[in-house]
Amino acid sequence: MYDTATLQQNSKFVDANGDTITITKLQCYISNVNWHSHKKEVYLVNLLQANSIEIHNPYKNSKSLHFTLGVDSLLNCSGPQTGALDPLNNMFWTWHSGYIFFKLEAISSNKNMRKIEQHIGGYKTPYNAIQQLNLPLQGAIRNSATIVFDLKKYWPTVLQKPVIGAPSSFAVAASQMLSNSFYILKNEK
Amino acid sequence: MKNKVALHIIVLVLIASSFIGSSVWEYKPTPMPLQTPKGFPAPNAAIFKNNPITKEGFALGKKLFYDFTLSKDSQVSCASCHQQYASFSTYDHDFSHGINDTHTYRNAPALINLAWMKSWHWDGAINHLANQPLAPFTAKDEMGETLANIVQKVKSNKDYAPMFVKAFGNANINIPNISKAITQFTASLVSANSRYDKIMQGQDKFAKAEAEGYTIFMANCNGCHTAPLFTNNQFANNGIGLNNKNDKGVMNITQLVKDSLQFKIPTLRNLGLTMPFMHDGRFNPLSSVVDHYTNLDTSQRNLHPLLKKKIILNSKQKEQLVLFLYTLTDTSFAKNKLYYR
Repeated sequence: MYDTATLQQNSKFVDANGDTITITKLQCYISNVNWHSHKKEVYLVNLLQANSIEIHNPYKNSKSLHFTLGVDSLLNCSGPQTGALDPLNNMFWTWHSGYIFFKLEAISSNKNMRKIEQHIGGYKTPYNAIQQLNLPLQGAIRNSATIVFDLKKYWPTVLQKPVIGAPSSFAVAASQMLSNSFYILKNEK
Repeated sequence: MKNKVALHIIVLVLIASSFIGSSVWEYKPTPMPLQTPKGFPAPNAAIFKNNPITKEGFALGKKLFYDFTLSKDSQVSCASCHQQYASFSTYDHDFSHGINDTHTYRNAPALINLAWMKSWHWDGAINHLANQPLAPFTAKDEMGETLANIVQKVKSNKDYAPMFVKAFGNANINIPNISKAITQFTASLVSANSRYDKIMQGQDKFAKAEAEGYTIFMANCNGCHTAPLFTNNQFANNGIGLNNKNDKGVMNITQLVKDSLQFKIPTLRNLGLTMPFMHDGRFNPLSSVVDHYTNLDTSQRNLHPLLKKKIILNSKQKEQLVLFLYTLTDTSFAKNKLYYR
């Protein structure tokens, strides 16, 4: 979402500078979801699609939802894989082994800005950008929750550096900002 | 009537039994485990986890390695830049030719004893041998193709499906299986049959000058180019300085200033076949490499600690060193029919 607006592929929104942004790609890897019985499962989440993944909670009364934004370091160095981690998903740096775990591609109406293309990843110190998120759940019974990524919250980081293409100190900082941009919209049942 | 029925049953049984007989096919590839040469340490086990070498996987990997059609313009295969007669480097080229008359920006390294490495490429960018093929597949100055097109091309070539079945037990033509097969081939490129090896095993002897060269080598070079692999698989700034491509080596990958001009310490095996030398092929002949080290400004920043001590050799000693280095060339490897197309 961008603030309260739901985003889809090629959605447009006007950012704080008054520039019109057309968003073409917004996706991320999440893994190690504490709700999931197969905790190691990795999901490629299309953030431009509502309910792009559904994970069922086998546990009653969870107090929080915990997950990793990124792909465990071991899976970054185990050779090409199938499924969500298949390099055909274009989330793997071929020239520099490792997964891109957040990909944002957009076009700005601002002629002075180059095209927006943030590819964030990095699993090695000192530029390990993988984030652990822990989102508290409200209410008494907590079996279902909708997670939202609010691009508006993250947008200042995009304006700061519209193009990121490799692990770096900035990618680590950006990734911390990313983890602050996820929240629980509602949880129910 | 009864007879007729009985006959039908017999015929059906016959058909059924012959059908069963031919359709029971068991996935049973022939193991072709890596042979560790005498004196070598154990290979990197991570390479073979979930991907043991088999005759069928090796054969498939070899076919893919020599397949020109995998590149964008069908002009470049892995073998274009990694030629067996040059110990799987590019013979007599500083840079190799990619698609559309491009040049690579680094010298193609020899593909030998890859299973004893922990990272690959001059800058160590590749963290698993099976991740390596993805780099040349997609590099604009190498094969320039997309991974999706590579999969499509392999699928559309009818030769491949049966080979995938034999190698992996199914016809899943995907990037992981393509890479695994190529890895089985490249990991099998073991070269350890040089004169040096025969000498170490007591089957041959150094000439006097070579023996002198060996002593010089052990005193001055073995710290980085450590026998028997003739590399310690580390990275070093050897003082050759920045080239006109502004190639900073490991720093290109890590962005860390401490990694500026750090390049992989290459094996010295087969250097009789892999000239020119260094990551950009700037030195040829071999004696110019030796001159580089003896002329080195040892006060340079970030220089590898072992190079801080001046290497002093007279011209005779340099000749002896070069003569020793040529004993590391394994001509039988360059002619091994197992690796032929």
